[in-house]
Amino acid sequence: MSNEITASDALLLELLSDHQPRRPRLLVNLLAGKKTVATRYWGLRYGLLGFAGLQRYWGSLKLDFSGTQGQGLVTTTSKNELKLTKQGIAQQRRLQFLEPWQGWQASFQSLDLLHFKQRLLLLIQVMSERAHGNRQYHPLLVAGSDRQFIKTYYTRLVSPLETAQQLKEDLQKMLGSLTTTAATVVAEQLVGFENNGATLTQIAFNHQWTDWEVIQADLFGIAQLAQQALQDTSLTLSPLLQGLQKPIIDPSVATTLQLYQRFHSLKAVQNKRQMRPSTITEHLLLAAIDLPLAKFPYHDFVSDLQIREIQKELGQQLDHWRYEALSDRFRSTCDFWQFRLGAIKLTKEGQKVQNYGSD
Amino acid sequence: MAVIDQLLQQKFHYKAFRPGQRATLTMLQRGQNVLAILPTGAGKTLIYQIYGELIHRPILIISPLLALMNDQVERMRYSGERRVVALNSTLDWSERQDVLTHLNRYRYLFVSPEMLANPQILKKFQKLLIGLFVIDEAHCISQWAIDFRPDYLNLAHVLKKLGQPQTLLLTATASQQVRADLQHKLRLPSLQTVVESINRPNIYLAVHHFNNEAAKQNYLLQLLQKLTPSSGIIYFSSKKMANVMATAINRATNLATAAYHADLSNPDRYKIQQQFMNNQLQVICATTAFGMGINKPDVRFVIHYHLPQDLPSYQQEIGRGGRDGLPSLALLLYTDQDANLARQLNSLDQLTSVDLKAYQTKQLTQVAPQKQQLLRFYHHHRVTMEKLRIIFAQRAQQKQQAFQALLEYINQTGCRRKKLLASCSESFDQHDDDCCDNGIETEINADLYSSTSQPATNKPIMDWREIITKLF
Ligand SMILES: [Zn+2]
Repeated sequence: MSNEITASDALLLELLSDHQPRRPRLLVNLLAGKKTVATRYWGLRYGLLGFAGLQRYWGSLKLDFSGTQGQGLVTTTSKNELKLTKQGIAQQRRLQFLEPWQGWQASFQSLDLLHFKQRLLLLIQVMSERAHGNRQYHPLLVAGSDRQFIKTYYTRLVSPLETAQQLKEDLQKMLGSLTTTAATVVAEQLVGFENNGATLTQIAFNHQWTDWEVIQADLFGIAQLAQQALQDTSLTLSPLLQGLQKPIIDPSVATTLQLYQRFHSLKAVQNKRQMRPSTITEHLLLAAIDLPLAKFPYHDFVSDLQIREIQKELGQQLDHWRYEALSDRFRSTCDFWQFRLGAIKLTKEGQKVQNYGSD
Repeated sequence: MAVIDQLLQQKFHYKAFRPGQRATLTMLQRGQNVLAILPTGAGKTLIYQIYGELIHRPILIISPLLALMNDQVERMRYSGERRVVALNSTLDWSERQDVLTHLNRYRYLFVSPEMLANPQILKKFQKLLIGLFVIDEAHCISQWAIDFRPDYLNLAHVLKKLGQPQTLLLTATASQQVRADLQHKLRLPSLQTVVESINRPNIYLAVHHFNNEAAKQNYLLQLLQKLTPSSGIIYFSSKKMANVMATAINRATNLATAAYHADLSNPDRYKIQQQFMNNQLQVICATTAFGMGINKPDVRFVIHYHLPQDLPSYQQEIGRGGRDGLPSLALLLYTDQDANLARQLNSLDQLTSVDLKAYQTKQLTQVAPQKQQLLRFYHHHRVTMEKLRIIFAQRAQQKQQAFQALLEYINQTGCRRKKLLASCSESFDQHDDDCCDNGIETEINADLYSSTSQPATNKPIMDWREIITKLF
């Protein structure tokens, strides 16, 4: 039993690397969707920003740091950071037997898939019962706002029976474009007339798939359906995305950046926003992390010459950079946040970082 | 025919009242405040539903568990009642505002105690001409009850603010001590009491001792193989163990089994409930801490894998079995380690020096969540450190006594039912072979409990295209 890889173990392996030690606390915060500069910066460094906020979607699936170490898949460094062992990397590869849909991260970061899924499940149930002329049934338990949304959607339908037919055809088409595993996992979760649906745990058990396989297939499947609904507005599922699109950067952060781009003065932004200077620079760092390289005015704050200077003093290993290790002379011309900005720029230039949303 | 009988038959489609329902309604009709102590599954909801139809005024129902509250609202809606709503933390801001501005729309308002602690919300209710104020799980008001909830103590103050509306207290478990305490705390004038026996004679009581966990698991799996096909609930005190055993049962028996606890998402909770109701699932591995809104009449066995909190809780939990009146089994599986585990859990409730310091310095965030709620309450009511120590010492003693009574039930040498009912101040002296194992471990007659009204329907795996086709 103890040698079984649980879904939390598999998730942890997915988030770790064999060459870059990673901090457990940061992984937890990243999954929880924390928006602090430290979480976002290290999320960028680890190349894991696409995982930000997944905890809410996954609910009870939580990181567990004990299991994989016992199995020799993960080691702890002297700084309490985690790294994959040789067996760990082999296990990680073995777990990637599913054909992933590459767009899931971008989809998850730009759309609220949790609410999309709840609306989808409830709509299908309501339409299914309607199609069979059944009025007495227990509606699925979903968030109040989603229940309200589907109620409104349904009452506005001119011909519910026609919509039900259309929905069926749309689903056949949409699921048909997924892998069979993803289509199966999504379809088996659906609830409707004389069908109570299955939970992910049950789907895994019935097909003898692992929990992790099913958890991923669900995410890939739902993300793909949402993406299709976004692109083709003629689909019956398309209206379900109303209000569920997430901005690439936080609105407050966007306001700060816009003001800066108008006045080109931190002081002016500070006066307009009535915020502490540290909040303004935090906003700018967050904007830099989330925006494509070309969309942030790096050169206004840190020059290429300064960045080369930092590299000369601290070396090429960005993960080891410490502001305190810089020479006093240099520190007097470059604040911590500018130093961080330089590291963000270098990271983005080095990694082919995926940017979510418009580019 | 009396009005209440007409309503019962014509509106709610029942042939006859169940014990306690008529007596409670008659007292309410006379305008009295009533404490109704009725066994679980006695149809408490129907009492205030019928009363609501009689008086045509809003009925406020205070309920402690969110999950239970939502289930109740759901069931009333399913049966056709549209004027019902739950006002609790699961509503988002705009929904809550919508409900609060249209309170008059509703006949049945389910409210969590913390909502009423909000002065703005309380003000809204003050404008409402409340017909009946119902306190569900009323024993939670008493400090003598193990599941005492400090936010329930506020209800005395709420009642006063609302102009002392007519009040109905509902509970399935209240010893004499708790009853006296309820009266003292709420000071309801002319409080009448309706007591129905909480004894459920069709439930056979048994306890099995084991030397270790492995022996317990083996026995459970073997017993379940014999109980096929049959519906049952197995209670655990940990979510992890519920998951582990659900998987083990699925692998080792023909009983389709699922874990059911607070980690489930809402849609998953829904699916498992419905599958259990439709006999697609035979066994549910549940945690006792998680409220279960399922009312399935043909549950044939309730097995406790871990210890219940105390005997009144045990009485309530096994009460989910045999609601159809047919023979059912209540079996408790016990190892000595279970007692140690329970002792450890109980010791967590005691006040530590850290807690006392936190209380003194008002830094309550460092305290464990459940304890925090209590400490906040006492702090708010300016309870001194000295008094606090005494209160906690008393609670610890109560818990100790309740735990002792539970151990006595487990190690009982005579009739177990006598011991169980005594914990709720009810006497019993009619032991026979259908009552309990009489304190002597005997083999369970599985044949008695291995039938359900419907056969298990295990659906074959369908292709996803077929699923979609069948849905529409
Ligand atoms: Zn007996």
